[in-house]
Amino acid sequence: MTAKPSEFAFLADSIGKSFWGNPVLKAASLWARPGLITVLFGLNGSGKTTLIKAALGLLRADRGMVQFHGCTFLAPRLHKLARLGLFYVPDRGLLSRRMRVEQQLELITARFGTSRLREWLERLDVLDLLSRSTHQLSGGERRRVELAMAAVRNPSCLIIDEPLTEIEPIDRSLVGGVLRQMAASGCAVVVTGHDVADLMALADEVIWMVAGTTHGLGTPDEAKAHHQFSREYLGTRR
Amino acid sequence: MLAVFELFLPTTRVALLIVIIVGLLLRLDIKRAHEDVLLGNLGVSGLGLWTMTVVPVLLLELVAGVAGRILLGPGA
Repeated sequence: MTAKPSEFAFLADSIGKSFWGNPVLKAASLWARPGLITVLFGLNGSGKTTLIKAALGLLRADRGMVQFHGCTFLAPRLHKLARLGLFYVPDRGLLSRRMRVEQQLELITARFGTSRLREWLERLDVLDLLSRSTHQLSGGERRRVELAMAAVRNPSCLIIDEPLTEIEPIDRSLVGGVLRQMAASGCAVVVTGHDVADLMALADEVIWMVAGTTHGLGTPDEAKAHHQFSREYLGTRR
Repeated sequence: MLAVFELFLPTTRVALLIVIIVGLLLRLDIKRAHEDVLLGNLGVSGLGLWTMTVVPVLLLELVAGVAGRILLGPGA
């Protein structure tokens, strides 16, 4: 990391996590800066989702700490971070199976309020989905609804796991555009995924996860010039 | 713990056991919902829901049991 801690909207520092004695995270860090999109890359099984869940308290980390909005958490909890302005979209499981889409959006608006609800619903083409249950949504529709919920929340920090998964090619620019718009309004965005071309075009900063730790690689151009990242992840150098 | 349990009427003890079992099932359900992340994003903790829903029922049962003991006598 090259920035001072105060420059981060969200910082999970030196997170360690083992499962049955096997270390998955040794000293991994995750950060987000206001107005920027940070992309977390890593091979399948490298621990990206584990890092996010440990940073948000959905898994109990063995060590490490989290800073958000001037508060330091040795044992972070999602609901506490959410009250301060964080929103987390997992790769699956955000939407309740027991409620319709509009009911779940109402939970967000009733709790946090919004003046731009209709704008986001139109932008993400979700208006026709409001009366449906979660199980009636396709994968792409589900992701658009989840992103709509995040946008309606108007968070100061958004962590979204694999937003382009199950998204049709035609909707990729839409999802990217919404994330960019949220960042432009000051939101600190963290994105994971394997869609290198799309995510590199979207990223302001790249973090690479490998061998249980993370490396801040800088801008996408700096990341592409990183020899080890290019060879071991992008596969562009031998 | 057993001494506290003895304060309850026999029928209330059965009811209490039912409440505890239902409470545990409810706790599991809340846990599942909490893991859905939706509640977390709304700023609601699973523990808070547990406290709001199950604990008041248990307290009510305790009060009813003690009151019954006083009104009906120890042999009731």
